Amino acid sequence: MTTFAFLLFAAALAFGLGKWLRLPVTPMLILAGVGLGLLADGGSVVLSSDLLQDLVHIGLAVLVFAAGVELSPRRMRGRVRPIVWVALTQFLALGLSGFVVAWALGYGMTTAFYTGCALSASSTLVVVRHLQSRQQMFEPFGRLVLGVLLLQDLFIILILVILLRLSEGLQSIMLAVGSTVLLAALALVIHRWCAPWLTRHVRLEEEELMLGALALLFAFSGLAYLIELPFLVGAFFAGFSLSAFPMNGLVRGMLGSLSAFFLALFFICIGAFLTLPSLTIIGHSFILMVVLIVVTVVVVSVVAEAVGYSTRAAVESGILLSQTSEFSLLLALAGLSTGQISAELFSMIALITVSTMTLTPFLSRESVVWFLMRLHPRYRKGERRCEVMSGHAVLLGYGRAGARTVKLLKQHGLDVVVIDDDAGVIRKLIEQNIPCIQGDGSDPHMLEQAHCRQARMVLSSMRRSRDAQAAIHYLQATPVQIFVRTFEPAEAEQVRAAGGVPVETATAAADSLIAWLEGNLPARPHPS
Amino acid sequence: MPLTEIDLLQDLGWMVITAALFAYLGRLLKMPSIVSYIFAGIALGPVLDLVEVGQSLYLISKLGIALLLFLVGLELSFDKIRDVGRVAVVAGLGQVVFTALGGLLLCLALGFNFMASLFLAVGLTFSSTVVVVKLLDQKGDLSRLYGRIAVGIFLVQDLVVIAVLTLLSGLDRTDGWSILGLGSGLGKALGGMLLLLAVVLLASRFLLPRLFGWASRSPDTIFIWALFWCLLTTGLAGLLGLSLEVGAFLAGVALAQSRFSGDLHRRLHPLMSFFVAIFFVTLGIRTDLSAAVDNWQASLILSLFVLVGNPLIFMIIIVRMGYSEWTAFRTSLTVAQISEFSFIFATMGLAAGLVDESVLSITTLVGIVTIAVSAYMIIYTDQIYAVCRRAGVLKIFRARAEPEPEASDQRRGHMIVVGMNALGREIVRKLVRRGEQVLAVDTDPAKLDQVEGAETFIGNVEYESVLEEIGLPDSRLVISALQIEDFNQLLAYRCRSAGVPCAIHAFDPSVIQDLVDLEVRYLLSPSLEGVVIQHQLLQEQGLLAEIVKGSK
Repeated sequence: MTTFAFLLFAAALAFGLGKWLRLPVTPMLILAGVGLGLLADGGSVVLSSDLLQDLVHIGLAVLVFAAGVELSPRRMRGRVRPIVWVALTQFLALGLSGFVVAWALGYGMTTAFYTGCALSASSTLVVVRHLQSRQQMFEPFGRLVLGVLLLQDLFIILILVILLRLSEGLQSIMLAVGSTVLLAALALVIHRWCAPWLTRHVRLEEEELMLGALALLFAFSGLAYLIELPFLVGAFFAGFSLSAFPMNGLVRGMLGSLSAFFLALFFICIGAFLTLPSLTIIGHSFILMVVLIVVTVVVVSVVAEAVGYSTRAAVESGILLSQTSEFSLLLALAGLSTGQISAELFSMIALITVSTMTLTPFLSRESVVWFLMRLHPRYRKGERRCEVMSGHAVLLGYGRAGARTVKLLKQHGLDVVVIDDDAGVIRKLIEQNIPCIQGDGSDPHMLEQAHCRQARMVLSSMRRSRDAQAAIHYLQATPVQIFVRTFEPAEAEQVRAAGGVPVETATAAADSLIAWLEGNLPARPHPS
Repeated sequence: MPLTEIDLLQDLGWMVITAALFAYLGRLLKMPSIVSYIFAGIALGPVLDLVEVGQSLYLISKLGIALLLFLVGLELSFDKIRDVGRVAVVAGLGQVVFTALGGLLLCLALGFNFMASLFLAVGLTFSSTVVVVKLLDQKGDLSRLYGRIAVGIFLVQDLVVIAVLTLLSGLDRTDGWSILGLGSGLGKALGGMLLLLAVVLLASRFLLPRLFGWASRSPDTIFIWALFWCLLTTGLAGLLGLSLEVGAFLAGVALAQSRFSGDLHRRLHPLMSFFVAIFFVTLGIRTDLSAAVDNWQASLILSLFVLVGNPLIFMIIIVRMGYSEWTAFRTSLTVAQISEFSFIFATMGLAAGLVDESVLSITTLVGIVTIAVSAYMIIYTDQIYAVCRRAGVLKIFRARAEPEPEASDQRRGHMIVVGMNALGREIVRKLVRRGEQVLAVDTDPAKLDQVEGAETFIGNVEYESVLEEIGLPDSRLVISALQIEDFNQLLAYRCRSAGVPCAIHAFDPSVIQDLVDLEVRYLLSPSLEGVVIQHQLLQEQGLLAEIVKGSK
């Protein structure tokens, strides 16, 4: 129990620090584990290494299983092409870059291969938490990133199978791949037919559901073990077999606390097992980190925009994906356990993982996104028709409702100019022959270029309220009215106080619901 | 760290798969899950010899017990315990005296020598906190009056167990034992209890509200901190010579006053369920039934004594304390089994050379039989009560017929609004103004603080237990303002299953089709409503009308 208590103390500390410093908790947990390991080495605390090892095994199984549960094909519906393109190019570009750089740094082929593979996947845990905290999980770019991450997890699992058989020749690799395909087929059968049948015909209690899901995890892991695959492969496909809706939602609710507990302890244990890297390793880690960040941001930004996403979405996706994954640790752990990589390389991969995960919140700040967006070449073609406009409508930000608004205004015979900072959006507007300016709607130069002071109206749907305030300020001394979309009541008050007209979307939606209730509300139950 | 040496995973795998299998078969026979788990353990251990309980598995099961008692504490604040304190102490101690005495006489009558009779009688005296709490939790009756009395009785008995263990460890000493040593041991346990209680009270008053209040917007942080607090307190209890159960229970009670105790309870519950399942399977694995066969008659008689005698003793005591027939009956049925401590007593007696192997094997068999049968008795209390009442056997107790009134928090005909963002708050405001009974739900207490005029509930709608607590099946309408696709879809699915209409936030065009497929009655779309309201505003300001006129 003492070891459990020490591990939980380290976890509690890591969670507290993560919250206080607003940093992702995963690197904090690993660092807390490193601290605990140092204390254990110094004899200040006594940890049961058997228990630590057991917890790493359970943590790995839970980590991979949870990733499998999220791998629902439904998540990628309608976005398969962009997701596959981005996932594949990022994976290959990073893998290749990592391999070349590691090889150039003097590592052997196998080690360089492991390094490349470890670099090539991004962290689902970090990115999902980041998207959740910003409520961007289900925005178009959030969905893209999520799909890419899930596909990369699958790639890593397949690579793991190959890497562990690398020394045994091609025949052995082919056999392992064949076995993996068989296991995947079994998972698909359960995913497609058994799990949906179960949810339709059997009402399972929470405890039964949890036990059943865990039984499946162990059954698949055991099966993988029997056909000489790593048990992690089985755990992953067990998760996938339960990833169909609504089974995935039901299971997620039951396993959430279990995976939170075991993952916290897993990362602490990983930290405790790490050896301190030498200066050379730290230097190599730094080089690989730079390569990782630069390659990811550039490749993902370019490919995502090419497959139809806006520049902002593409850049944000690139930045969000620029860290190594918890699956990189898994891969490194597998390499370490088979002796294919050294403890030092394991520490290097862990160091890169901790550092890049910690950097993610800093890199994904708005200022960095804006800076990178400004590097994008401007499309000037859309600006031409703005020069002669007056009595027109100006849209600051195209947003989700842009197309409908433009259509509506045109029906009233009004000319429209759109100012948007997103090159991808501007490119589409040019294609639709809508006058547009690429730039920031809060920038007076842009507002002037769109002849806002000569406009009949200005409609703002910019995300940040301070941007709308800047535009209101610009139009203060003019008769031009500015309508600003708001969601929070405080934003509406600010707009009103500054002289703008708030378009309160939440209030509008609530009013509409109440109106619907009048004719459709089920009757109140009888008091008896 | 080899990934191929996965002994624990293999053992855990066998245990989980067998437990799931037995639980499924048990479901067909309406068998309580803990009985299925114990049988799964017996199959894996004594029968097939597939699994041995290693150190890690032992720790996981101990953690399960700690979590179980922690959750009990979380449900019972100091106020809730105080009103059953007297009955718990009187009934707990009274039963210990009467059962021990009755058990001793019975064992002597069965032909056991005095020392064996003493150990068997002590073993029969204590009931299993883990078994009963797990079953009461499964029934959702922990916070009901009889549940609170039962928990109070078990905690009193836990303190008596500590005293008996202190006594027995004195017996185990080779240099003999003295009254002074025994007195100091018991004094230490009592002093330790008072000290732990003081520490927990101070922490619950001054430290925990600040710490947990600071982290209240981060459920994962609260979750891990709560686990650490539980282990810290159990560690402290261990240092003070108290049991793990007492420490974990007090750790829970210290957090029970906080507003997020309910949410914490729901988050920890699945973890506890898993660990406790492992505990019961482990219990089955460690069962040694080889010698029990020779003593089956004695084991059967003693099992009957526990199954019938213990509830009878309790019934008499609790009725005498003025409780109704219904409450006394329900409480009494919870004590019809022996505890895991009974095995420890027997083992200690064997180690000290005071008793032979037969005492341990009889205790084991009585344990298995009484735990299995009493699990049925607790789950089917209502049916047993009805039968006893019809037969008129309860008349002899001359108890009050009317049960004690208990507050019911069951909701009906209300509207549930999930997600207290601007949209959720606005909907709540308008529904309250319309005179509806509204329940606002969110995981963030700070967001719920901004809600006016409606009842609030901290919780995550992903958990089925949350949906039960908020009364989803009896609600009139469920509205989700969340911008989380997975949650919205699951909520819509559960509403459809329960036949309750729902309105869901369709924050992006890509989510609409799935929600339509799930038969969502109304889609909230602030983005599109914004276009409509913007159009109205433009018309009101005359900006569009002029253009239309001009164009004509």
